[in-house]
Amino acid sequence: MTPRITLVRQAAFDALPLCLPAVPFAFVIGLAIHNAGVNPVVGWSSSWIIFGGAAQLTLITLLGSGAGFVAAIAAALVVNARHLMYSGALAPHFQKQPRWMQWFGPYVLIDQVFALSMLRAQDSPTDFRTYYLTVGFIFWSVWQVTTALGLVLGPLVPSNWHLHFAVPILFLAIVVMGIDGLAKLVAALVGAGVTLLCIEFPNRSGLLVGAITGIAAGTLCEKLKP
Amino acid sequence: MSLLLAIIIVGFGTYSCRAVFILAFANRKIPSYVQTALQYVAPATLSALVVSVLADSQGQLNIGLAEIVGLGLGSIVAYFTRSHMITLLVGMGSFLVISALL
Repeated sequence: MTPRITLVRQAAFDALPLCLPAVPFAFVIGLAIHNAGVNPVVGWSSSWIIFGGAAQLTLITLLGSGAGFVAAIAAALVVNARHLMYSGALAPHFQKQPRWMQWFGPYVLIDQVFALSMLRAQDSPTDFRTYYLTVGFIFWSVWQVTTALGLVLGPLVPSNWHLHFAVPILFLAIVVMGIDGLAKLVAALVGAGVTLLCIEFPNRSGLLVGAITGIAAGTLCEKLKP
Repeated sequence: MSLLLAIIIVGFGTYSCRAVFILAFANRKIPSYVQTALQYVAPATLSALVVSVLADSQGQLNIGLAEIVGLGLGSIVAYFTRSHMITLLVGMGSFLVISALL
């Protein structure tokens, strides 16, 4: 078994560089909460209740722009459905963990925690737990502080800087960074194209039609691959 | 109040997605067709969101040259740098420059 302090140091060393890209993202979420004109404390509570950037931004941006309650919730849940994959992949490694860890661990199971902890999946259960919780705690803490900073500093930015435009840029950046093949490109293009065609649907429900059609198109493309 | 309720529902749903296999189905595998479909959730949904957030409250798409340049350059920079920070700086910078020139 590795000494706990060594594991904690290693986890911090691995996690901190991955925190840097999350900082502008968290800041934009803080800004989106401000722009949506909602109660800032309630908006910020999404950082610890949901703890998932893309879903938080989806929910707050959509509700702030007049989308329907159900459509906004459905869109945010669809965005986070990918976490099912993480849960499935990590489940065997959680079987030797105490019950409290099996309940608490999933709360911090974000993209970065999944990526880092999968690399330590063969460690002893105690080492895995120490590493996983340290990485999770670091991301969680950075996330809470930076979204709060965006919320506090956002109103100080002059409105003619049009910082609201940072939201679509950031979403598009996540899409582009995730495309690693034709099928994902097809999913993205069909998702955007169908949403555009359905843009006048009530309560922004066209986005759900676009998302579902895009997922189907990507899956079909994968199936048709020679 | 409705925002708090929405946050709680999405929080519960998100936690459920993260926990379901760890807590309940540890010895079952996700069906392969579900795994395949899940890979396309992020690109399809997020690109749909890009279009949706560019529309105004009446559902009209409100984009001009500045937005197109900002998104276009942002995409190129995201692809090559894989950096959110640089993408935001270039995307927002080009958008603001073109907006000021027009």
